[in-house]
Amino acid sequence: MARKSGSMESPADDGGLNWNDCKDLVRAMLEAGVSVLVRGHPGVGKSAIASRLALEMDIGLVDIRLAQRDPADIAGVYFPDEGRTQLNLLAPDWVVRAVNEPTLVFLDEINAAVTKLHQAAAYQIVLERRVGPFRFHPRTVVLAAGNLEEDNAIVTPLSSALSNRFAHFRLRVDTKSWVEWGTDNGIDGRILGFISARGSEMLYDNNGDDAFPSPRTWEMASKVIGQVHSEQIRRVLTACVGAAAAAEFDSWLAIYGRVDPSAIVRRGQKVDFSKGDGLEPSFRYAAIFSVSSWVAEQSDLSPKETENLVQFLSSRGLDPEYQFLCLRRLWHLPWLSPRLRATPVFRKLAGGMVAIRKESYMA
Amino acid sequence: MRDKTAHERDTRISRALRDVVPHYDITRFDPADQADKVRFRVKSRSPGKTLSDYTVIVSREWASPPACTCPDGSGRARLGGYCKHAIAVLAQNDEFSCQLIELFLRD
Repeated sequence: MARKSGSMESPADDGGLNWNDCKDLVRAMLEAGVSVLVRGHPGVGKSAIASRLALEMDIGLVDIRLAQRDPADIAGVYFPDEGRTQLNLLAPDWVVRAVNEPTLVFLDEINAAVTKLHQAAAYQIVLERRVGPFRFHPRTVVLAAGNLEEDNAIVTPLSSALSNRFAHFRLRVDTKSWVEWGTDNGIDGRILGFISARGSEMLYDNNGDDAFPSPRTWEMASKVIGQVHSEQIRRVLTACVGAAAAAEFDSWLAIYGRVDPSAIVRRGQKVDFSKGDGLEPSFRYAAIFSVSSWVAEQSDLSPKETENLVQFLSSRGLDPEYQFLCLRRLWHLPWLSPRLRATPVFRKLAGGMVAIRKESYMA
Repeated sequence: MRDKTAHERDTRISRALRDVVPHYDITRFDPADQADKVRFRVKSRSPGKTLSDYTVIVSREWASPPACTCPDGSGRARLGGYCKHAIAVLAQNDEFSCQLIELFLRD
């Protein structure tokens, strides 16, 4: 696998939307009453969009994986009344929620191996916002997601009638969004640094193996690599993201291990990025993610340690793009940003970083 | 497609540097009753823009983001109150320009 080193963007970006833009546009559509179908590679965050939007819109979430549900779970079942003269529809519990309260109905894997019965049920949900006689709450919205046909996932083409009822978005693999998401959601800093250094081709590579890298499998890996001995990490990674990615990650860990964040922040050890290892993008990413992850594990820094951190950010040869990357990871720590703002050497550094950006706008 | 927040920020900064800095008078006041704040009057020199007269308040110790009396400054949470007037004020004053870094830590 040929990899680009030091790249945050990748030619693998396939014309779709990044995660944040996709989420925002989907929300605008849903709030306008338009149902949306998001397609993307497996594990790139389609379900996460549904979860986040339910939170942002302050409505409940019903997650329906069509391929794993019996059509009756979706459309309900008819049963005879007491006089056995009429059939009444018994609604599934999710329908009761969608009727009684604002709900985001998420039809996941809508183009997986679903039957015509599934599609017929989905058609009524999407088009008429009801199931049988049960009409949804006016603020209930419908979002669907599906995989791309080229992903070796089993895909059933949607009927044109159903497809035409959706607004369509394509979600692309987006390293930057995922690293931001990972920073906020506790993904292991070694993985975030690795993905930042290697770009989206390492974040997603459906290479035909059983285990392959995707945002979902990296998240899976993140949950376990902190629980096993260092010599087991490669095996665990192989199980989650495949042998090729695990081998590359192993090499990355060797670089990562050369950085001692405690010595840098606690004792003020200097790092020179203008020569030797420091010139290597991989080492720069390793240093930045190692230091920022270590700081994130602390609950406070002394004034001297804060100055040492600023000294690291001001290291010789560390380009502004790396300074900004490190600061972005640090700034979201609620206890740290006030400390940095109150530190004169940080203000001086920040003023210099702003001046460089300002020049680019003036140009 | 570029990230929306970054695009909005870039547009705002460009407007501040292109439209506000050359065409507005920016006057500093240090209010005696608020030692931790600095006020700037930002007033358009264009005769047609009689309503373009705003006040930007900057925290001397960077304890809070800048605030502006213009509709944009109070109405748009995405950039945390950094309207073009506040950006212009900070960009013009070396003492406070470091505060602009917050804009670049959001993308």
